[in-house]
Amino acid sequence: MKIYLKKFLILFTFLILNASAFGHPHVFIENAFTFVFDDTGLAGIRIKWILDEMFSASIIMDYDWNNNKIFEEKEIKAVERGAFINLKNFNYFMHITANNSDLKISYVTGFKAEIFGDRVVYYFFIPLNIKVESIKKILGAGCYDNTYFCDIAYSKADPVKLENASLYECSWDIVDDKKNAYWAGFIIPKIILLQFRKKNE
Amino acid sequence: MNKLALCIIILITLGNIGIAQDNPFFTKNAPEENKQITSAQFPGFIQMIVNEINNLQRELNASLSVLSRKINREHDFGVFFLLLGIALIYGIIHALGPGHGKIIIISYTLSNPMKAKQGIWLGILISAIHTLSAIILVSILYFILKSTYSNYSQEPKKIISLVSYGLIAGMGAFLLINTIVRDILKLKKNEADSKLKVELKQHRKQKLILPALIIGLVPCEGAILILIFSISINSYWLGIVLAGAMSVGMALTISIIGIITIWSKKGALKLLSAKTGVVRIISTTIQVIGATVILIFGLLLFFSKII
Repeated sequence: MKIYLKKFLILFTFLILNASAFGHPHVFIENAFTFVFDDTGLAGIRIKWILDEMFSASIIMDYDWNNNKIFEEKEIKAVERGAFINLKNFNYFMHITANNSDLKISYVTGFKAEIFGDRVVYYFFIPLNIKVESIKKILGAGCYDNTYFCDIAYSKADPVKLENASLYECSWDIVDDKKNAYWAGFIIPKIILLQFRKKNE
Repeated sequence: MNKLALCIIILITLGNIGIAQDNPFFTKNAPEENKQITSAQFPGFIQMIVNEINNLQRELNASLSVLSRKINREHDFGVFFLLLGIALIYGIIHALGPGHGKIIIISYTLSNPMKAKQGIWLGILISAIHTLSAIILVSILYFILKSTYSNYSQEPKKIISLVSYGLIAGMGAFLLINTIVRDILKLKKNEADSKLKVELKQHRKQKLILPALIIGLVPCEGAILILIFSISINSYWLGIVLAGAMSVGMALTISIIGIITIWSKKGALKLLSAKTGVVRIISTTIQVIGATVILIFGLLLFFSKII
């Protein structure tokens, strides 16, 4: 009798865990990072998001007012106000740590939206201004929506680029961030682990 | 063992509370309760399965848009049926994720004596209303109000959600009071033996449309995006057909969840049938828990929209 009850419970448990664990995203995004350096260190990260065709269609329909398949200045401002700025409440889906301390993003700059074919592409810049000396710094940068409305994957082509990095020794890797698993721990986000320091002169 | 079993059910069910999905691109404020970061670890093969399912969803979503454009150009029946199949599979997988009132369905089937057939009908009705609600909303939004999806995600969605969540809380309160009055206060000891038989007769008479309407009222975001996409390529009717196919897929998933809940409850009670007193207590406890979960879930969702 107990065995049957156990079977029922295992089945039931599995079912409910399934219900909470298996992803349910509505929007799919391809993400690419460009780490931008300057003379003093890491200036920030330039983000590129390619939105899926279906969500892109709704943004194009709502904001490409003259239907010319190009977002003009006014339309870009409207996209920013209507379909981007609210992401501030979600830290722009960014999960950034510098030497294991969390960094909250207070603002982003240079927002731009473009239409490529049938897809909308967002660009924006996250200022970090991390000064770099000869001691190695470790930056963790992940882009994921832990409400799981959006599924954000790294772009297959060039997920990470380095810009103006000639003064620095840099290396990066994509790693699992197990301690920040979400949706009941079933989804483990992948983050970029960037290590950098000033080159010896 | 039985107490432990019940505790597991309660804990897992409660663990799912607070899963309400809003589009972060438009919806004001990041609801803290949506952030469910946990350090739970699962075996690698489970991670692999979840990953594969996520990739499949991404591919299905992409295929839906590419093939919709293709059928718009070529009017090919082969592509049309392929598209229907993809929408159906997308619906099945889509409903596996959080949302779509599954916790309410599980709790409702636990708190009501139901047959498997009724579980199937409940799943079909919820899914149909969930999709129909999306079709009506998108049609009003785009053809009558000439509004936008981003505008929808603000006030209209808030109002619909408030009504739905308020009704869910009301339904939970009704079921809870009903269970307390009918099963706890009025039930005499000598009625206990015949209680299950009475329940079986009662549930045939139950109307499923009202709970289905309450649970399915909030429009399906997936169907909304498919419909808006179809309007953008001037194929509104294709969007309705695809949303319908997706709805069938969702109905399959929701019905299976309903059936398994009913069977689990029935099986657990049947195994205890030798001890009728225990059956009565456990059966009533499950119903009270189910109704309480609906009430709490409805209230949490309702107040999360107000605050």
